[in-house]
Amino acid sequence: MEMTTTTTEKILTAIEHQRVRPRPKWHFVLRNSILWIPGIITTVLGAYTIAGLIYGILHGHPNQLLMIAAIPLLWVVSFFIFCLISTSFLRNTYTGYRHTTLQLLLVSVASSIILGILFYAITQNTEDNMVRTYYRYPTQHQDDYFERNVNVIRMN
Amino acid sequence: MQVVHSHLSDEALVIKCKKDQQYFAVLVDRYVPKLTRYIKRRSAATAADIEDLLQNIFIKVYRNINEYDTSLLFSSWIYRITHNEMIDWYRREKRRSTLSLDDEAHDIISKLMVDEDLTTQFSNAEQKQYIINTLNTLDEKYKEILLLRFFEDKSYEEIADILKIPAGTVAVRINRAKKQLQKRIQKQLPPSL
Repeated sequence: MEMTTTTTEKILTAIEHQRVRPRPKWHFVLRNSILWIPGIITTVLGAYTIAGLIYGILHGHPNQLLMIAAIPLLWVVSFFIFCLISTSFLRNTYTGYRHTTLQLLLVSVASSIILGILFYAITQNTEDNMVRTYYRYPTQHQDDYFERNVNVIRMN
Repeated sequence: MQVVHSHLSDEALVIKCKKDQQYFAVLVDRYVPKLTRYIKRRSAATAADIEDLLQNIFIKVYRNINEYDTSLLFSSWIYRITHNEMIDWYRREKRRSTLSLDDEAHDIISKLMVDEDLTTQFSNAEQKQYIINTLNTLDEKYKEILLLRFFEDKSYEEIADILKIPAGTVAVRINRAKKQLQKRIQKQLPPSL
């Protein structure tokens, strides 16, 4: 007990002498938030790629489809590199270590796919609205376009 | 101070010591014996080394007290800091961790042996010392995990929080550690045993 008290006193004296002060809470909150950034960037980039892929497959010109066909391999490789970097960061967050690398990878891929479908649905909806608006109120430019086409057909 | 606040939990003391340093003294008093025992078991450190290590550990604890996440036990957090400090110390001193177990440890060895069904072969103190020596030949990660599980009596969740690994990995590692221990004991068994 005496030894404990002596050690305690020495420790407290050392803290006093070295003027040790607790680091502010925001320091740790900021550090924890920074560790989340690569994970968020990876998920959002993955989601945009998924949205692009869906668009390409459903609406793409055959040439575009050929281009898109080359993307997955490149995307998969770069996505996994990004994922591995972000999971190593995530493992250092407060509770990130409780999950395995595989679990973190799966969550990242799944959230990219879900978010990608959502992005595609939102942009499609916006595009459909734009198209509807465009045809409801035809402009002079559109009239000229139709006229030119009709003339071409007549000439042939 | 310690008598007055001995009823307070570690977590409650942490909250209080953010405002009043006196409460930190209670925490220090509470953890010095536990951590001293842990450091002694994990290394062949001298009394002076242990004092230096404890000082560094508590300075780190006090400096990072706002980092403590209440979702885990304070004891897990302070053991994690101790574990990391020990690794740094081994690197600085260019040493390999050595388990140096006290008399009390012989009873714990019996507990470990019951699990491995080796009690009939290893009953007396000399033979148990042989097991301690074999424990020291294990891989670092296995030695560490067996020490926490059987000597410090930590649960799987606590070990996961201390070593910052998933609870599933703790179970796998303990299983592999026991197998490695059993294999080495049977392989290096001297003819007299």
